[in-house]
Amino acid sequence: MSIVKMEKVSVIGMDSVKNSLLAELMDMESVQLRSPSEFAPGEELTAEGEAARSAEKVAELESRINDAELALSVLGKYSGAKSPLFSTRRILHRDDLAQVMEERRKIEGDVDTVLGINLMLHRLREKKNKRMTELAAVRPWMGYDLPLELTETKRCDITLGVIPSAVDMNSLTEEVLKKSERADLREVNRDKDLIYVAMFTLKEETEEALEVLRQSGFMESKFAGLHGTAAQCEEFIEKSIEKLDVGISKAEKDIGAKYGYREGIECLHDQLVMERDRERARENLLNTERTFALEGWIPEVCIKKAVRVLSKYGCWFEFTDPEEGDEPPVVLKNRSMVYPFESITEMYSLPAYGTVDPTGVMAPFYAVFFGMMLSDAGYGVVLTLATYVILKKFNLEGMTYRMMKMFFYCGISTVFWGAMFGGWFGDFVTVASRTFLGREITVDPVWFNPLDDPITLLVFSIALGIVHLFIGMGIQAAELIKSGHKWDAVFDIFSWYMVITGAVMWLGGSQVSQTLVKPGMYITIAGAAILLLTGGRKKKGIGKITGGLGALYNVTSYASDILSYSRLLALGLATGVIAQVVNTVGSLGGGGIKGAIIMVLAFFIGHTFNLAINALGAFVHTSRLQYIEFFGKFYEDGGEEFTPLRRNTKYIKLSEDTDGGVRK
Amino acid sequence: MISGTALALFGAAAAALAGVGSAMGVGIAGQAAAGVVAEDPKKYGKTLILQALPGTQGIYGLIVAFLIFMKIGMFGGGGMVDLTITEGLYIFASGLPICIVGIWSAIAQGKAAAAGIMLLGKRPDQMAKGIIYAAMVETYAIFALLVSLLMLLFSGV
Repeated sequence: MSIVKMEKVSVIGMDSVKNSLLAELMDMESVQLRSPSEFAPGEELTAEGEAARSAEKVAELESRINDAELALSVLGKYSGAKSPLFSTRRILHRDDLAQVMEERRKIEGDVDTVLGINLMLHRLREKKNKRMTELAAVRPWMGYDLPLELTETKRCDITLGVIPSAVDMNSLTEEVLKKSERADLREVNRDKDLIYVAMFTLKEETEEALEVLRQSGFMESKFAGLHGTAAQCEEFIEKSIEKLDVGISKAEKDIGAKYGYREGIECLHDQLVMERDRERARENLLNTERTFALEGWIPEVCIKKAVRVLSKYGCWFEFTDPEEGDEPPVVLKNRSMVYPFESITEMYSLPAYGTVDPTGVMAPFYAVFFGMMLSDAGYGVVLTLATYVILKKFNLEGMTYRMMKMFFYCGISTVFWGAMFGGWFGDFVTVASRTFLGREITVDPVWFNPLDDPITLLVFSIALGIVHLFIGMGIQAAELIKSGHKWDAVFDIFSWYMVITGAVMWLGGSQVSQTLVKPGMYITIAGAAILLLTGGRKKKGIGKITGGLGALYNVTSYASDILSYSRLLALGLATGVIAQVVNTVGSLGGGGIKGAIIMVLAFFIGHTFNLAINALGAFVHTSRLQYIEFFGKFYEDGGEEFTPLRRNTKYIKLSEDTDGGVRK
Repeated sequence: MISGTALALFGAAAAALAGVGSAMGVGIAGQAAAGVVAEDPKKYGKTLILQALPGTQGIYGLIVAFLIFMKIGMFGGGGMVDLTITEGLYIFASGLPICIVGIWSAIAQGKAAAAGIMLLGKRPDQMAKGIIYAAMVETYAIFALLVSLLMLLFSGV
């Protein structure tokens, strides 16, 4: 339930052990190296040459990683293998990986083979495209029975081309004949945009006739590389496209057949990634001729292990607490029930180092609010089962795992609140029994039906909201007291406790007992007086007075925060009413077979839609209540994520020593 | 002849009009989404989530309309209840908050969602914040729904 405590580690070691030490640190996955810029530069460092060499190596590895990735995506594309819903990493023992890597040369060859075929495929496609363009150019000339490439005879020129279809052919012909009497202009074909014309002219008159045509927007068509009449050309091109198609499908099949290479290439990819990251880590070291220096952050719990490793390599090392001005990276550690909700905190922004991790307090409220908003036991069961099956079936990690697990808990909460409010796919049981059995079977809510008594739920929602807000304010007060500002806690937070509690008693107390009203009024006034008198205590002059008024004016912000929780009621009702709409639509078909079919269709389509839209709404608005109302009271964000040197692999997960890291 | 029942039906019709705003909001967000997906088709699913957000006002309108139908006995099989003009006006009035707030908030939310989609295009890791920005707008539609519901359930009809 907290932010993990970090220590700074400084190491000096001999150059000869550098590589194996980095490899072992990567296996530990618990040290984040700092960039050398944070060191005070020494004189006798020889970092430049080394860094340049490293950068070069990183670039080379990077390009090989890209190759492997491209090869994998090509393999996936042409093999017809379906990609799974969630991508998970294969678990592989490190000895097995070493064994696979013995054939590294061969796997690199495989990558080249796949990429080679892929390149060929691209070339074939390009050629096919070119042929298709030619085909489109030739087709309009089918009515022209001279060879297309023929442009002249002994005395005549033959010109083929197109003019816009808006041009009037008759007048154009006349124009041409005026310039050159013996010219022959023929229309071969026309379509929506163009007229295809052939013109025969005596050589000495060609230029003048062409001039006339050009004024009407004439464009000459050239058929380089083609032989014969349009019909012959078409046949030739079609045949060649057919041949290209055969080549393309063969190449695609070739790639598909290489699908077996995938596992090897995945191993190679991850191996390369690890090598690259180690190489990058070297850029973070400072080197002299024989030694290197390293600095980084390490979670306090991992120090023991680090000491063992560092002593093994005969390094000098020391661990120090973070100093003033340091910003240690942040990693959260929570019990396994709360851990999935870290994803919500992280989505907002990690807490700053040394402040409070809100996840533990937030988690139960998150589940409760989500359940009240979705508020249908049927949907809860679906959500719980679906996430359970996904968690069992896929070996999920990281953010996806945590989200699934979180929705699993939220699903259970939804079942609870759904049962409290009596929603099982809305009023499905009632409607179905009325429609098909002729008598009503009702499922009674454990508590009450919010549609019958929305005010009770409204009050409950707002009460829950006040508790939520008070806890957030309490965390802030605890922080203030811990840091020695206990009067700030009294003036700025306890005063609000008084105002809000008093106002609730004053305004709503009469529902319970008339004796609450008067004390409530006094408590409110006392709290308000504290605010008025102390709000300006840090200001000067006139600010002393206006500051108090300003503090009191905050009542609007508290009121809007509290009223914001009424969305628990509104969204809860929304789910229920839409479910009712779905069931009502389903029952419109009446009884019998036909009615049953309509009912089943409406049930699946309608409830799927309702579940999807309301689960999204519940997620969004529950998060909002945490982020705006709850976090707003105390949270300090801006922590930098802990990114240790680790095996950042994509396809395989190395087994054997996974207990080193803090994270799962 | 204007009867109370007819007025109540006008209320239901007004509530359903919130769908106009949702249609426009979802449309605005959809345009932005198509632009982002053109760059990176893998973001389709995520843009869809943001695009769906302004759709809720239409649903709130549907909820109020449906509850009005229930109130005036449209589904009961026993025919519609006869309402006085005053009762009809009560119900008519209860349809107005979600109608008016729904239309404008959905359009505004559509714009916020479109901006969130742009954010998703540039910084996919920050998507959650884009969602929250859009959800801030929705608060007021929820309040309007609440007002409509309370008016309807406590109109004494």
